[in-house]
Amino acid sequence: MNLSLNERLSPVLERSLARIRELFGDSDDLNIVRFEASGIKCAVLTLEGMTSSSDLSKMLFSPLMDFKKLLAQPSDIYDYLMRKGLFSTESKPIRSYSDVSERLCSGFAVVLINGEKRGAAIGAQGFKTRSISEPATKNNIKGSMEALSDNLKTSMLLIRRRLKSPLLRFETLKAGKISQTELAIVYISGKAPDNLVEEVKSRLGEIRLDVISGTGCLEPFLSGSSGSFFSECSTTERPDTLAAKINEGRIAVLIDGVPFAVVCPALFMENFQAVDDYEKKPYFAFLQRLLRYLSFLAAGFLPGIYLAATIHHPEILAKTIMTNLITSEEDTPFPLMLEMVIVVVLFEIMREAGLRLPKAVGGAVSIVGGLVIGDAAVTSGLISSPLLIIIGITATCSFVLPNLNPQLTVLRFIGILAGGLWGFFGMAVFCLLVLVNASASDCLNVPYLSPAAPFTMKATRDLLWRVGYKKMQRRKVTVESLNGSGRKS
Amino acid sequence: MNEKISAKISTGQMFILLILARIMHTMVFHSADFSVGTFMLPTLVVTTLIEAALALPALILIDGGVDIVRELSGGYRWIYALLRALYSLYFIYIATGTIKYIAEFMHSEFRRVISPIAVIVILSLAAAYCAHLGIEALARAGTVVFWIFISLFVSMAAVSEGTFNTSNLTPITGNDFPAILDYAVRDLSSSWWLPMLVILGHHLNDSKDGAKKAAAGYLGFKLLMLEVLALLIILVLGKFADILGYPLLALGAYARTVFVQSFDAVNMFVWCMNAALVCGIYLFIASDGLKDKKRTAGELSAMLITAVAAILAYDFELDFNGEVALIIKTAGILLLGVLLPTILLAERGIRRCVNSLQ
Repeated sequence: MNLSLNERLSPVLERSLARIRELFGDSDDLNIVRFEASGIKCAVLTLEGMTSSSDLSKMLFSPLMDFKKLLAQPSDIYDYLMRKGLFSTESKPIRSYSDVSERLCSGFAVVLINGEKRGAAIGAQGFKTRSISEPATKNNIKGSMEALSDNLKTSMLLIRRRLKSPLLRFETLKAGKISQTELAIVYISGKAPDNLVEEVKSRLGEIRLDVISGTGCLEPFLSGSSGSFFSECSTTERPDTLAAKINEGRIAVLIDGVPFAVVCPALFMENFQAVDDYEKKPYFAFLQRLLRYLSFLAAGFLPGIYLAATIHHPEILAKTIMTNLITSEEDTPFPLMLEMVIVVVLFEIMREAGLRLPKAVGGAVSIVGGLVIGDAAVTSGLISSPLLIIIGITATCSFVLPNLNPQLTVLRFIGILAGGLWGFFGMAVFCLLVLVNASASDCLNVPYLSPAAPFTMKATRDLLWRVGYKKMQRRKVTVESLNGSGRKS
Repeated sequence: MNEKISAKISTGQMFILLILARIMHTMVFHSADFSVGTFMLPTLVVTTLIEAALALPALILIDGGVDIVRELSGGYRWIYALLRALYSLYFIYIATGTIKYIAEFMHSEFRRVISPIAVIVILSLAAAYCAHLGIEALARAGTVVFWIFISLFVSMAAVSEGTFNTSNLTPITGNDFPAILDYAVRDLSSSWWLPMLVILGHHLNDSKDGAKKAAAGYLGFKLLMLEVLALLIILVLGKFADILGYPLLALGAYARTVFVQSFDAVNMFVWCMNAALVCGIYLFIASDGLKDKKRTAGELSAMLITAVAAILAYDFELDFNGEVALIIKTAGILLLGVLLPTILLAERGIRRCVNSLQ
């Protein structure tokens, strides 16, 4: 293309239109409506489906057609659009072809006037988006039932409705060389440290990807570290959770077209918190969290520990348990470790199939899988019942912590290898490496294992035990106040 | 993983790192090399007091914000490199001994599970990875491992079926003097927390009293822990402990529950976790002195030297508790943990006197 995007608009309308058509490669969704206002040729450019036709007709076309002035100059129409007339809450001046492209792609209507080097962009976004729906992940019993929207503005509205404070800040910027996706940095001024906000902006500015398709595109840039096993940024589709997190001094990034927000820094312990914990009595929340921690250990390490105990350290088990295990293993043809690998692989395949298939078929897959693995495999003597029980427990526990599912799946496989090959020695070294890796992880200089390691006493109010709201309101904790964050240790 | 994080650790974390290193030593180094008896209890008090006295020069300097090795070098790069190499060699020696003893422990107690060479290789690799992630990661992970240890001790004590036999508490007589001397030397030769503190001191975020607090906590906890363990071994096992390879493991054998018949493997699990972590700390200290420009080169060198040395030590059955080993360990502690800080302290004192006279 022989066209520079930064080139200024031509005062000759037809030349400008030709250039814009060339820029968009005669794309069929580029609409150009020509008309005359007070005898001056004008054109309104829109992209198909990005603007509301009825709004445009009421807000723009009718007033422009009614605009009458004797001996009108092109600059009169421009002044009318930008200063005197009231067309939309958003109107931006257009000077170059890059301005035209940016505004058209953002759902503006661009008005070009013959004889005028400038154009006007009028906000008339009217594209169809999904209505506000219930969260698909992290379901809750009580509390809000709204999820963030694909539409950035709607998501911003959902957060603003929950934090009606002028201290709530949205700062928008663009990322993606081709997609030019709009992002919004969300934080509470005075709670989120200024240096962290600047750091987030600078890291987002470093993104050189062509397209920003989801939260996964931003996370590596925001976390800033490589080699971390766990994800140092969290995602949420719940505006209530997001509001609570930014109230703790965190920073969120909303992406236009994605109903999830990236929140940083994230802490490991947050994976064990749920919205309902804050709706129930503290003692019940404590019990539920305890179960989640146990589920994490079982989902990640139970198969490895089972193999280590039965293959290498049978002396650890009580006599009756050992006898039962030996009896059930006697009839199976495979070595125990291979048996475990087969069942875990089958489980992962069925889980994947259940996730990707339509809901109705997914249910059928679960039934078939359950029958094949659960009943037929045991009856035919291919797999022992105790092993199946272990996998059943592991699978159920892994569903308790959906955010950690990728990590738990990998932990399970490595645990099987470590425990199966080297017993508790292998498991010990493996567990330590995971622990040290998590200890070394941090996002925006906030340690991932905070407030447990390094330990911060005042932040334990929401670690395992959740203190009551009366006490919580007296102990204000932000991520900046955690030991080890920033330059503190 | 973020290089920008300042490599600072808190006083509590330093205390935990020192204690974990000591626990590692107590678990594995002290096998059936010496006799067990009531004489251990007062001896431990005396050796702890001696350790406290020996630590004073280093503590005064560290809490004065002094990087002892850098100050000692007086700006000469070759002196600095030489001193750091000495510390590196010493901690490679300690790491080699630790890994060799863990391999021996695995071979004698869990022969079927894994070969000793594999233990050495895996532990060396794990320690190198831990060292690579830095002192902050090690300190944070150490906190978790420390609490795992405490939970293990408490849970084993809660389900122990061992009974105390007070007749095992025999009075101390003149015949115990050689054993007292032997135990005192062995205990003092295990005080490599002093050179550890000299190197890790400048990582403390509390540069005012951090080292003193960490040292006081360490000495107090070490004394309490060893006294309790010694008392338990004497009361439960008595003279039987003299012929046991690992008395603490035998103590754990008295604990059992409905599901867990024997705690041996559980003990081993926690010991091995600690072994990898503690060796990571040793390699972290060693790698700093071996690095040229890149830290990774230092870590790899330290790991390779340690792994090869541990394999050779295992193969040639080198004794890290023998007389030569005691001399090396004690000399290292005295030189790197006591003498060098004392020289620097004296030099600073003399300089201050001269300045005040002028």
